[in-house]
Parts: sequence; C-alpha cells; structure tokens
Amino acid sequence: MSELGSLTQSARKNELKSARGILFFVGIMTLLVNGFMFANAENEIKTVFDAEVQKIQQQGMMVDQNILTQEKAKGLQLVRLIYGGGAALGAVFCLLGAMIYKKPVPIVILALILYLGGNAMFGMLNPASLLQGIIIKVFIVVGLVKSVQAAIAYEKERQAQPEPEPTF
Amino acid sequence: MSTGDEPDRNSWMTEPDEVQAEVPSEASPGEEECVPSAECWRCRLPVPIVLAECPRCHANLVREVTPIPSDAHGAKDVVQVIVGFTLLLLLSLGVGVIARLQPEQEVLVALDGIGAVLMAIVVMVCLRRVPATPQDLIHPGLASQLCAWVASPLILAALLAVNFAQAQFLRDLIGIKHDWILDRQGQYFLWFLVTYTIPPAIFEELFFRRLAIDVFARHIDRHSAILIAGVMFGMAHIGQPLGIPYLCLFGVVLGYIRLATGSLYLPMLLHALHNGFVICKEDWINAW
Repeated sequence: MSELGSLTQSARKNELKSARGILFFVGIMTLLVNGFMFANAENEIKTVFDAEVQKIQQQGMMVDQNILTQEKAKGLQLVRLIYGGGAALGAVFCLLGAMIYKKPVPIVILALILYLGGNAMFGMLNPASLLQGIIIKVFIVVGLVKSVQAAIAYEKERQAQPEPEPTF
Repeated sequence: MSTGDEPDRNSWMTEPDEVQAEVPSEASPGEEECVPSAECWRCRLPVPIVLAECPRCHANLVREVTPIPSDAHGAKDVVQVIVGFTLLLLLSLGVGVIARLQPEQEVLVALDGIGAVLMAIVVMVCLRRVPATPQDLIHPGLASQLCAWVASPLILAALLAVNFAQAQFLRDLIGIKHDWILDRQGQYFLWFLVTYTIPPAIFEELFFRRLAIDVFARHIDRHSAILIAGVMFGMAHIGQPLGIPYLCLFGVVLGYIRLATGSLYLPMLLHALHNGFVICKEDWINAW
C-alpha cells in the first residue's frame, strides 16, 4: 500500500473508532435512561392514574376500583414493555459497538437505521421528545453517516490490498 | 621582448564564426508557434509540452497525480437509501401521530390516501437513479424459482399465523382494546382495503426489496443486505410499534423470496395478499 493509502486507511480506522464510541455512548445512555424508567414505571403509572381519577372525581363521577386496578396493571405492562424495548435497543447498540471491527459496513448501517427508527418510534409515543437533544441527535446521525462512508471505503481498500508479510 | 612574429591576437581568441556555430541557433518565430506549450505550474511561464523540466525554474513537468479517493463518493448510493428511509419514517410518523388522535373515518380516508401518494412520490424519487442489480441476485436457478412459487402459499399461511398469534398475545398481555384495523371498518372498508394492499405492495417492495437490497449488496454480502433491508422495513412501520419485530421477520422472508425468484412479482403478490388478509380479518371474524 502506498504511503498515501496507508494514511487514508488510518484515518478511516479512526472514523470507525469514533463510530464505536458513538455506539457505546448511545447504547449506554439508552440503557440507563430506559432502565431507570422501567424501574420507575409503577410510580409513573400511579401518578398518571391518580391524576386522572382526581379529574374524574372533581366532575362528580365515581370510579370503579376493580376496573381501575385492572387498567393500572395493563398500563404498567404496556409501559414496562416500551421501556424494556428501549433498554433492549440500548443493549443492541452496545453489542454493535463491540462488534464494529468484525463487519464494519453492515454494523454501522444497521446502527444508523436502528437509531433513526428508534428516535422515530419514541417520537410517535411522545412527539415532544423528537426535539429534545436535537443538536446531539444531529451530531450522532452525521457521525454515523460519515462512519458508513469510512467503513465502505475501509472495507474496499482492505479487500483490494493483501496483508503485508511480516518482515524480520 | 619582441619577436619577429607578431603574436596573433586572434590565436587565443575563438573565431566569432565558430562561436556563432556553437551557440544553438534560436528557432525562428514561425517554428516556435508550431510547438504546443503549456504553463509551468511553478513559474507560470510558457514551456513547450515536450520538455520534462522547466528550463527556467527546473520544475518537474511530468508529475504523476495520485487521485485522493473520495470516501463520500463510494457510499453515495447508501446515503441516498438512508435519506429515503428517513423520509418514509417521517411520513409514517406524521400519519401515525394524526391517526392516534382517533379522528373521524373521513379524516382517516384522506390521511391514508395522502400517505399512499406521498409514499409513492418518495419511492419514485429515490428510484430515479436505480443501480444495476448485482449479478448474483439476477439469475437464480429454475429449481429455486419453482420452489419459491410452489411454497409461497405455505409461507404466506405461516406468516399470517405468526402475525395473528403475536398480535393476540400482545393484546392479551397489554389488554389493548383499540386496534387500528377496527378504525378502518365500515362504509369506507373497500377504500382502506385498496390503500393498504396495492400501494404498499408496489412501492414498499420497490424500495426495500429492490433498491435497498441492491444498493447494500454492492457493499456487503447478500444475506446481510437482506437482513438490513428487513430491519429497515420493520422500523418504517412505526405506526404499529408492537408489530415491528414481526414486520422485520416479514421483510427478511420477502427478501429471501426475491432472492429465490430473482424478481419482485412474488414478493409484491405475497405482500398484497398478506395485507389484504390482515385488513379483512376483523370483517371475517365479525361475520363468523
């Protein structure tokens, strides 16, 4: 490989290193936030339902406690499913970050798709969350796109060049 | 001291004619114009292009320029697919947010129609520059094509069974009473049936099974390409978040069917039938 080529490959490796850092950062943050919310789901459901019951009672209506208990349980299941899914997504990001050097191109593309899709899904559940941390999200997406470009070029170069023989 | 012979003043001096003979004669103005010249990259003065070195600044005029590879250029097609996917996600997000407000049926009719048209526009724009299909995806064997066509009813039945089972399991687990399909029953049922079977079968297949798989297969192995396209397909259906794992599986299966048949006809047909069965399920259950 020419000197220019090896320098370019080093730059691409650094880009993949940045991508790994991004994936670990996103994965750990997602895991921590969703894990905390999962653990706090019962309190969250209790707060929401108590507020709704209060509103209903202020209107002079009664609430059937049996139905309320059933609805609380179902609500808790749903919330735990959502936050559990989010935590699982965070774990997937960490796994992709750990495996990035094995198959850089598919892993970085998959990570980008999961990141965009995950944000869109949580945006569907809570549209206001789309704008929260928008600058960081943009940086992450741009970083992952650049990593896709670097990974493709890196793999192409790696497949084109044979491994250098060790010299003694 | 004087000698008889006067020293020849010219003996140690070269003859002017000899000097003139040694100096290379300058080219006549006419000859100079015939030799093409270029600009020296260092001193910017005209130099005949036949020279390897500038006679004035001695710059090397024969330089091999190694083009610096542009990483962005090599991944342009992948980035275009990602941009198309993002647009489809935004479209799903918009439609899903409005649909969750449980509007009137007329609003849903308009929403589904507009959603289908916008999806078609996004996909057709992305397909403007369709890359050539990689060779190993074009010519599957006759045996694999036959197997795919013969097995397709069984594959469809298995997929529908998995779909209904997972939907029922999640409903029982979470106790969801409201289903997006129930909103599409009633007097506009036929409209919903058409908008949920034909446009997705055509345009989603064109985007995910044609464009995405072909673009990814140019950079990675075809199995990874099919897997990633399947995950993209599932994630694009954010309007049905609980169905995303099943839809990823559905996308992967359709990807392998495309690989087995080498064309989009069977995936389009299965997609349309699958969606049709899902829409009609509630109607049939009510009739039962």
